[in-house]
Formats: sequence, C-alpha cells, structure tokens
Amino acid sequence: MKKSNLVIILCFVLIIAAVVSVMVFKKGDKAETEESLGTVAYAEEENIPTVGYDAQASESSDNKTAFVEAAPYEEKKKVYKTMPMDDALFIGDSRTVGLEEYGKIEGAQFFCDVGMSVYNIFDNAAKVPSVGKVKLDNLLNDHQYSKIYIMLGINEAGYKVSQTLERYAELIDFVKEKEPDAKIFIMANLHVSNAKSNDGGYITNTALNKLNEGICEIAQEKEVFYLDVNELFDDNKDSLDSSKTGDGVHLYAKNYVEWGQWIVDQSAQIWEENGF
Amino acid sequence: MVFSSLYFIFIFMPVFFGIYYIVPKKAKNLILLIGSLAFYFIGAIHSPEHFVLLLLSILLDYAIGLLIEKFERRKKLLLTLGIVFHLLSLCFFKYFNFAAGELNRLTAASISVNIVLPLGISFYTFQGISYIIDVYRGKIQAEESLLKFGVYISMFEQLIAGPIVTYDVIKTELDDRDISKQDFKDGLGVFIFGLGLKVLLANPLGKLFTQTQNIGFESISTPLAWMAAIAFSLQLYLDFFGYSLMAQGLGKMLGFNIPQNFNFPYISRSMTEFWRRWHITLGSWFREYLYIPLGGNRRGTAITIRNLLIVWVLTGAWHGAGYNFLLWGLILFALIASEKFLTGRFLEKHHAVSRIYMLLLIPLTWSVFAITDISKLGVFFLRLFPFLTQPVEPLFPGDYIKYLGQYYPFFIIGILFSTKLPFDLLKKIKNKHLIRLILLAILLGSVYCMYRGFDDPFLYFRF
Repeated sequence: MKKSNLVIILCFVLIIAAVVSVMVFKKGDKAETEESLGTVAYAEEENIPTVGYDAQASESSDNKTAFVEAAPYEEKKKVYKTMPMDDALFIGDSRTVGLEEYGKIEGAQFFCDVGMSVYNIFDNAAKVPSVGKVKLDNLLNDHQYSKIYIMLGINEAGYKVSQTLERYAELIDFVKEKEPDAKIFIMANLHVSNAKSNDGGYITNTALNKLNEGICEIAQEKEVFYLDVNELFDDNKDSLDSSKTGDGVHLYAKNYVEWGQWIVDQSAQIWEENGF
Repeated sequence: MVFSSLYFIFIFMPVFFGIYYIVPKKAKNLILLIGSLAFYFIGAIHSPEHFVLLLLSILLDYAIGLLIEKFERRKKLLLTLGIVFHLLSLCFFKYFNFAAGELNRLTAASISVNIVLPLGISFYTFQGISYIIDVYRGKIQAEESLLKFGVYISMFEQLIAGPIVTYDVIKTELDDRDISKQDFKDGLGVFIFGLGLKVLLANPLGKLFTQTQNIGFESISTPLAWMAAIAFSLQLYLDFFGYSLMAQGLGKMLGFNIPQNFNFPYISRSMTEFWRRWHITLGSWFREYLYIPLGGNRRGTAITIRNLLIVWVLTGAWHGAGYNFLLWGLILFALIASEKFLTGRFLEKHHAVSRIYMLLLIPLTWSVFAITDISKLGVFFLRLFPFLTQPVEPLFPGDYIKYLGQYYPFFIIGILFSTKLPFDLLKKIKNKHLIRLILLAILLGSVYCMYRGFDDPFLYFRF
C-alpha cells in the first residue's frame, strides 16, 4: 500500500477515534448536567405561579378590574349567547389578523397587522376595512367604540419585560384618553405549542406567562378587563394544544371561530355582571 | 451548513477558495478533502456520529473497491456486503422514526423516535453503491488513492443534496484538472444565479404553502388550495434547481464539470418526459443500477410493469419515510406505466391535451409529495375538487384575493423561470458588464434576504 494512503487511513482512524472519544466524554458530561438541571427545572416550576392562579386571586379581591372566568367555559356557553360587536375594535398582531379573517366576529373593526407590537403601535399604520390605511391615533380620533380589545406581546418577546409592560401601560392610557367611554379588554397572550416553546428560540411559554402576569397586573391597576383565552386552547402541559396549531404560534382557522365566539360570550357575561 | 447562508458565502467560501487556489496543483485534492470534511463536520456538529458514518462509508467503499479487484472469485460477496451496509444504514436512519412511530401507534409499544437523518446520506450512499457496482462490473478500475476516492465521495458541492455523480464522470478531473480564470468567473456566476433562484424566488413561494398549512386545509377556499399547490410546485423546482446550479457553479470553481440535474421539467408533455428532465442524476441512477439490472423493458410487458413498479415505489421511498411518499411513487408508476402502454402516443400527437394533462398533474402529484399526513392530504384534495363532497363555505371567502395580492410577482417570475425564455434572453446578452451588474443585483438581493432571515422559511414569521 502506498505511503500516502496509509497516512490518510491513519488520519481517518484518528479523527474517528477523536470524535467518538469526545462523544463518549460529552455523554457522561450531559448525563451529569441533566441530573442537576432536573432539580433546577423542578424548583423553577414550583416558583413560577401560573397566570390563571394569580388572576383568580385578583378576581376575588376586586371584581371591577381583572375579569377571570368563575365557571368552566362550556357551562357558560349555555347561558350567554351573543351580543352585538359592531361597536368593537380589536387591536393586535398577526394572531388578531387571524381573528379578523376567521373569527366570525360580525361587525367589529380591526386595527392589526403582522409584526405589530407595543413598540410600533403608534407609528405603524394598519389597513382597517371600510376606513383604509390609518394610524391608531387617527382611527381613535375619528371613531367611537364601546369595546376595545387589545392583544399584543408575542413580537415583544426578547425585549425586557419591564420595558414592554411600561409601553403596554402607555398604550392603555392612550386608548383610555382617546375613548373614555369604551370598555377596554386586555387579552392575555395566547400560549405557543410545547414544541415551539422548547425550540431554543426566545418565544417560550415561560416568557409569555411572565408577560401575561404583568399585563394582568396592569389591567388591575388601570381598571380594565383582563381575558385569558389560554384555558380554551391549552393542552395538559399549559401549552397551546398542538392539534390546534400548524406553526405552534397561530391557531388553525377553525379554532379562530371558537376564539371569536368565546370573546363574544365573555363580553356578554361581563356586560351582564356589571350591569352595563 | 447550506450554500444559501451568510456563513458559507462570507466565511467558508473565501477561506476555502483562498487556500485552494494558492496551493500547488498536487495539493488541491488534499485541500478539497480537508475542506469538504470540515464542511460536513460543521453541518453535523450536533451529531458527530454522522461524521463518523461518512468516514466509515468512505473507508468501506474504498476497501471493497480494491478487494473486488483483488479477489475476483469473492467479488459478489464483497459487493453484497457493501450494498447491504449502505442500505441498512440508509434504511435505519431514514425509516426508523417512521417505523417506530407506526409501531407505537398500532401497539402499546413506546419506542423512542429521535433518530436524526445524517446530512446527505441519501446522496453519498447512492454514490458509494454506484462506485462498487461499477468496479464489480469492470466498468471502472478501483481507485487506488484513498485521497482521490475520499474527494469523490465527500466533495462539498455535491455532498448534501447532489447531483449524484458517478465515479466515471469525474475520474479524469480527479487525476488532473486545470482551473482557468474563466472557469472561476463562470462558476461564480452560475452559483450566484442558483442562489438567487433559491433565496429570491423559492423561499418566498414556499411561504405561501406554509401559510395555507397553518390556516388548516379545511378552512381554505378552492382557489387558494390551487395557488398553494402551484406555489409548492414552483418552490420545489426553483429550490432544488437553484441548489443544483449552486453545486454546478462550485464544481466549476473547483475544476469539475458536475452533471446537469434539471432540464426544464415543467415544459414536459408527459410524466415520462418529466422524469427525464427532473433530478436527472437520480433518474439515471435508478435506470442504471436498478431498472436495467432487473431486465428493463426487454423481457415482456409483465416484467416491464413489475420493474417499473419496483423502481417507482423505491423512488417514492427514497424521497422520504411516510405513506404519502409510497402513494406518490405508486401514482407516478401508474401514470408512467399507462403512458408507456396506453396514453403515450395520444399525448405525443395532441399538444394541447398533453400540456393541460401535465399542468394539472404537476401540482397534483407534488401535493401528494408535500402533505405527509394522509388525512390532511384527503382534506386538501377535497378543497382542490370541492364537487367531490358537500359544498363547504370557506371561513374567509376572499382568502385567495389576499394571497394573490401578496404573491403574484413571485408566481409570474417563478412560472417564467420554469420556462426557457429568461435563460435564452440571458444568453443573448453579450455585454459582460450588464451580466455582471445583473449578478451583482441578484447577489445583493439574496444577501439582504439572508441577512434579514428571509432565507429560512421558518424565520419568515413576524407574528
């Protein structure tokens, strides 16, 4: 055999041996890390209160502010049927675009766009049907609404939560100032699927829960309503049910119908409970 | 590492080609081997065992080639050994997850399904098999230099997505190749052109199909379903064609003439013609190493049909693990067999009919290929052909207008680039400066899209 072939064979063998050794070494290392990580993960789970839990607590202390369902949705559905939504405005990102296109919320107006966030909501114009392309400021100046629904937060993932919440509070103040007679509903961010939450990106359910928790507190502070739709679409891991989403972030169109109906039902219940 | 990444274009290419061009001619194969293995290692960094598998595969094929020549009487056994090794590793990595998943579904078993498919295994396995078969047949002499053989299997420009190059095609260039300035320029131009097809056309078109998947097929209108099927067909072609052009361009820059993989398949007038124009090197491989050894079409109608069935079912299985791929292979078999024995002459004579026939079949067969969930595939076909079921009002009846408004430029350009027209026009441009300007614009546009994350369909979303 030629010398050059022997050298290359030797190199191949050495590389294989090196890679295999690193793999074996890393495997041992990983097993140790996983063991310790397991404890950390458990501890974290214990420490982070779920949004639902907090919200229930706040409901009992102040029923004028954050609204949380008292009974399971299915039961309420039998009681509340519908309410007019032609005086409603929805403000949001691509998930609200889905609600606009597939939610079957008759008569409502939508100020929403892909990529909308609390950081660009004042600067970006959105195409509002029957109005045209308009900025939020102008839309609120020219129109009066009885109900305004806001759901923002997923495009803000990655930003500092405190900074995002500050902007969120500013947005609520702005809307309240422009529409003093409207009832404002802040909607918790829809969770993402477990796979999406664990894909290594910055959008995780832990981050969304933290944000939702802050949004819920703002809702209490600003005396606006807080709706958390996650119970409707969550699986048993408190993640968006993978059978209801294609990309782990947005609902399938048919589930937007369910969401739209849920919003109408929730609004009708609040209306009745508060004697509006 | 994929070619359409900033890392490849701005780090790997300058570093590798810088060294490759500086070193003397006799060291070029060594640099190419080291560069190719580094390229693969970086791509498989999270699964280093895949890198080991590639090295073992190279060593095994190299040894089997030499042993076949040395032990003439045992050559059949040696060939079988090599083929079994390749097929077992390919089947294990490609079908284990699917088989285990099905077993878990059908029984109470709970087998873990986390096998990651090694990069390029479908391609380098086929190259390895073709090599040992060719040595067995005496078509080529076994390569004595492990360096050259290693370069043949691992050359980075064709390692992860083909074209599937047989040894005889590049043997001469492995031994001795000259790279002129013109080769470099031509190769770079072809590479940039392929990059543009992938990044500027295929990726945006792919987004439409993903969007319809995310809406849920049951909720889309019939026109949107057809738009999605057409968009996927264009994406698949422009993506793979673009990638093959990039491979050809890089090959040219390295001093190799990599064979053409596509020849305007969408202008075909029959499925048989389509598969002579689509993924040409795969079709040739199946013909050379499976169809003809099985007897081809020379042993009567029944054997021909059997051979076609085997080839197309395996073609389906090669493309992926899933019932849809088998179904897709069976549909292609039915179409190609019927063209061979029944409809071929009719299609040949009637141009308009054959055009309509292919314009319908191309998006329909690619839909079967694209949708891996059989129940979703059924739903999608009911949206394509709503008269087959009770009429369903889509949730958003104007959905196709919205998406047509967003995607029509990509449809127009995509369809245009599926024909010969733009290529004929480009060939007519004699002004070199104008060509450079066009290529520069394509490169800048592609780099901008890659920088913004538009090169990856999964990064498209802002929410």
